[in-house]
Amino acid sequence: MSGITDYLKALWMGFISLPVILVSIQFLATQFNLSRFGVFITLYKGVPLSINYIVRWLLLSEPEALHGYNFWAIVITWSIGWLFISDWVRNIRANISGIFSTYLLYILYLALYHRIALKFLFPDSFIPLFGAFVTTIIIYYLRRFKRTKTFFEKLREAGIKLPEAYFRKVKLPIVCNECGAIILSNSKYCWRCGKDLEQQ
Amino acid sequence: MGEIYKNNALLEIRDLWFKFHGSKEYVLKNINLSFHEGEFVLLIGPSGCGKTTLINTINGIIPHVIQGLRKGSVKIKGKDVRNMKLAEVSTHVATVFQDPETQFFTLSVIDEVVFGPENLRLPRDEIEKRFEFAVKATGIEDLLDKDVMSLSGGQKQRVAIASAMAMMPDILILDEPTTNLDPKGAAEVLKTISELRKKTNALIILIEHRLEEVVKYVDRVLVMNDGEIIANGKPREVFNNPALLYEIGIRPPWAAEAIVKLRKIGILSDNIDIPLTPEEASKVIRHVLARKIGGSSIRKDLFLKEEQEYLKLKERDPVIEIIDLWHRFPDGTITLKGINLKIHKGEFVGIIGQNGAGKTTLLLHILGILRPSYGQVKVFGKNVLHMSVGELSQRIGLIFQNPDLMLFQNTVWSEIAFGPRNIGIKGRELEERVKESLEMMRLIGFEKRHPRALSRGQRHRVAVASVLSMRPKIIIADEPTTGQDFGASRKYLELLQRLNREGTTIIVVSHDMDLIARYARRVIVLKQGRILLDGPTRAVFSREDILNETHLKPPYVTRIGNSLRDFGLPTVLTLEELIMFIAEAVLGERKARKIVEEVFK
Repeated sequence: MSGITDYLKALWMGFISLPVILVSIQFLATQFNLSRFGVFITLYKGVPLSINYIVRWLLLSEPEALHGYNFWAIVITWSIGWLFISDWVRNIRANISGIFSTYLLYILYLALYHRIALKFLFPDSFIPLFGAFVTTIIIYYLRRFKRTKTFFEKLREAGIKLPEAYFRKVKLPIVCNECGAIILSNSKYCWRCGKDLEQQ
Repeated sequence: MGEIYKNNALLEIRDLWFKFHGSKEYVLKNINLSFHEGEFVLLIGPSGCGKTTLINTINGIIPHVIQGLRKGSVKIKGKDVRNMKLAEVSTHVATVFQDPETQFFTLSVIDEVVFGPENLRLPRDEIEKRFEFAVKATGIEDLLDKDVMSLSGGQKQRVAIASAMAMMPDILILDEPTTNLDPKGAAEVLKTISELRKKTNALIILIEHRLEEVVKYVDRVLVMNDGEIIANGKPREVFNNPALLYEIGIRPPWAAEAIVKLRKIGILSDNIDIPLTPEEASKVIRHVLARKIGGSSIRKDLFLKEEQEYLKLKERDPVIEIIDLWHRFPDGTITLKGINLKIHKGEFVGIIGQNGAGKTTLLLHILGILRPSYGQVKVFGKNVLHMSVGELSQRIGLIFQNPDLMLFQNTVWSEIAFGPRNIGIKGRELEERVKESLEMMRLIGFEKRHPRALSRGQRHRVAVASVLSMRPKIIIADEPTTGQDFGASRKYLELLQRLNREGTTIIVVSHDMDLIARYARRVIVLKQGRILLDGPTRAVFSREDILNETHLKPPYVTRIGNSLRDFGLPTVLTLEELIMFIAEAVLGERKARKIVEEVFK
């Protein structure tokens, strides 16, 4: 169940966030005047942007999107998108399925809503997808190798001191050394003889 | 009896009848009462008998806020409440309710205590004088610099009483002030109330179910049933006739009842004074045992039988397995500290402990609502965190303390069908499940009624039925008897016992030691996030020394029995057992059994 929820989160987040990231890249490029360094991103040409135009860019089905820095802007968009999603949804299967489902959802959106016929198997469009895929894998392994503190280390760090007996690993049932009674929990005292079992 | 109070009464109620608008029945019927200054009166009666309505006619809520048809008079110092403004009534009468939080208006203890006098626009000196009086009378000097919300339940209630006392009322009404408190908090509040007696000359009217704690302080007991006062007299006179109380679902103090039963079977003579406390009862019984048998040993095989039952549990399949469970809240409080516990199929487990011991946190982990900081909880061998809500709700049913929190549909039928419907059950199976639950809870005929229009007991039954329709293997009841009289509590626990006999595992969290002792077969005592004691009920309650560590006390009847240990009396859990052991010692086993069974029939 949580797998499905994770998948839906990744899909929805991908669908919404990629256009926002692409437009943000265009905005930053204009704002910092990257054209000074020969970096031209030509998504915005002075006319309002429509959703279907942005989506067509994301799928590289606009001829202009394939040229120069536009192409790399799209690869970066997909990669950054999945960088965020991988950090939020910590389920590698859901994230990878999310990449391909987002791709298909964009195609469906254009085909059904805007009745635009697409060459969606055009090999170039797989490159940004590959970027997203690689990002997801990298994040996954980075997280796996990054050592998180255990609960008990956090307790120690917070300066909390508790009796040693609290940390003892026990196997139930416990047998009282004094009277041989069986206890079905790690209780402090034996119910039969009253012996302090934490001292045993 | 009421005749002696007639002259110069502070509060006089004459021929009082009351019914709410739209209601056919009178809630109060021909009430005639007189109260004097400095009196401490205990008002008891089953839930819904009209106690709160009666006090609302005294504090002016009726007729000034709640309206209805009122006949007769309620006079404070000779003036009818009806002819006084509510503000004027409040200078004479102060009321403290069950939940202190509903009465707080400010954030600090000092502000709360002076809030009432400030509203009367009294001079500064007078407010200071009243503040000092209220603080001293309730002993809250150590709480003055605190926020009201940071206080424990018992402390909050003491602050509420102090704010009432700051009004320097002639009449202080306390409506079940200990209902929501743990034993320690309740003891704290009742001690404060008993101290108040010595420090003020106000008339105190107390509604309380914990009779043992208060009965030694009160001057007079009023018993109410179905809107009428059916008994009015000194505690020893009223509790001399426990049959009358049992009939209306009220349990007399154990001490009084034990002695009445011993009289009935002929062990004690009728002229022995009715004791009110376990100590008094123990003294009387000690005298009888010393006279009749002089310290001989009494049957002890009960322990062995129950021990065997507990020891055999490990052979059954565990339905709940808690492995090294720790929980730390974001504010840093560690509520569970390495709990390891197994609960097996068909057990009836009672979980006890003070507030903050970790009982509710433990339950929330079993229900998968809280995520462990460390460790895991398995239900039927599966980690609860990997189970869906639907899957879990078919295995575990939770019954809340307040049934109203579980009722949100328009009819009883749809309330019971709600759970199964949500897991996709429909058609014939749904109808079968609802019908089965209705039958089990004796709710046939109520299908089309609105759940909220039922009595509290009936609402409780609807809440249980809505859980039963999910056919859970485990039922968890969190404080199931809070705010209910003895009769209703007993019926409710008997219902859980019946389900347990049919194979359902029952876990009850409660502060009511008498009910836990009577119904649970295993008791787990929690203290500050750890298990202090876990064992067969009798063995746990025999260890008064260990229970004391967490300010818990065994049930009253057990305490009477424990005080007679030097006569060889084993730990007793119910009154029947106590009487049986004493009767066996005095009359011999065969004769005793026959007579005792007859008395308890």
